[in-house]
Amino acid sequence: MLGEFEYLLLAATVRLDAEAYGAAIRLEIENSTRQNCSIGALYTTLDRLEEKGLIETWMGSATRHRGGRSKRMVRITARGIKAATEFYRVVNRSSSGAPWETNRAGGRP
Amino acid sequence: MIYKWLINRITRTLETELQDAVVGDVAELKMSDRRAVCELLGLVLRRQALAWKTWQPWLALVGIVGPVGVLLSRISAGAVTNFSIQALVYWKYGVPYSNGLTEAREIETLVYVSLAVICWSWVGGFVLGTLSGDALYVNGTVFCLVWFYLCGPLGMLVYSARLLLNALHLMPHRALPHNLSEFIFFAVLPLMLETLLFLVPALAGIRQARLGRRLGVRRTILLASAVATLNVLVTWTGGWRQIALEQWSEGKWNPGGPSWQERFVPLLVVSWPAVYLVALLSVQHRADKRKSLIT
Repeated sequence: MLGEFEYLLLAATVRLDAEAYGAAIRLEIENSTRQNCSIGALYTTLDRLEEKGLIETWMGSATRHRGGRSKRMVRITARGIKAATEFYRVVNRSSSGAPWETNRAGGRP
Repeated sequence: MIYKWLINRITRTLETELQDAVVGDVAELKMSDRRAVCELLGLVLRRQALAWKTWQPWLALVGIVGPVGVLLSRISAGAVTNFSIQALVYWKYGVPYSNGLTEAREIETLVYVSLAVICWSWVGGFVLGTLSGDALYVNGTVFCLVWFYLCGPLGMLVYSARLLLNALHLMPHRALPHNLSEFIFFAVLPLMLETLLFLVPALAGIRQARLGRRLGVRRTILLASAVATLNVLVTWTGGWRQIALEQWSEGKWNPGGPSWQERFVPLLVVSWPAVYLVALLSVQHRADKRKSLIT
């Protein structure tokens, strides 16, 4: 099963679609979690997900605002979508009946 | 300024593509230099930690950096000391230092041991580079520290400090005299020779492995044969000095010293990387054969 950060990374990659690369994924994760995402955590997780066959990466074009450096583009694979779906279902199932789950549905905290 | 230099140094430890990606991200996110250093250092440390998750870097550390590094330092230091004594006596008095061996045999002993140290160091460095992967920065540093501590540089620093203190009249009289010729023959010359025999071949081996160059069947067998032959020659010639002293004293003086088995065992330890290369070759050969059978 996926780890929490792996799931966040896959979800950000899907949301960004063709614009998914290192810095953009980092900002997306920071915006959604409101927590800092380090370059170390990001790139070691990208390597791990690629090893597992859940994502594909390739070097994109260089741009001026990146100091002429290339981007590491990321795309989710079919296996990645399957793993993220499974993770989401497990979280949903295991959250069933929990106070925060009721709260989300409009119940008392 | 120092942060820019640090960023440059840290990113150089990463592969070219990853280097491009992370430095580009740092520029795009408009990170401060200080923050960039911390983040990049975090990336390098995480990758180093991951590199140590496999058994290969541990084998390189425990099997090569430790025993091979220490024994090679000792063997090369012994050979270089003998040479330095000969060189100093010859330079001072114009005659070779007589230890019972003929000049030809003395030269032969030195040539064999020098060639053997070069071969062992190169193979040791190559296997160290092959096994370590991303952990090479740690293993390579420790390997160089073993060389620094046991071979020359540390001794030379101490020697230089003593000379300086002597020149400043800060040394007690008993610790003297140390003259320049002794400094050259017992500090500078050994350091240069040990660098040439041990450090340079080992670094060349590491570099070859880092460039991903394979040795191939013929080269591996040739190298292993050379190591085996030199082991026999060094063990054989290592006993010459004892025999010479016994003969010179007509059997009255037996200087003792290690038996041939005791001389041979350390050489086997420093040669294990060559055995590893042959074993790896045979495993690869079997795997290739199996693949061709399947296809």
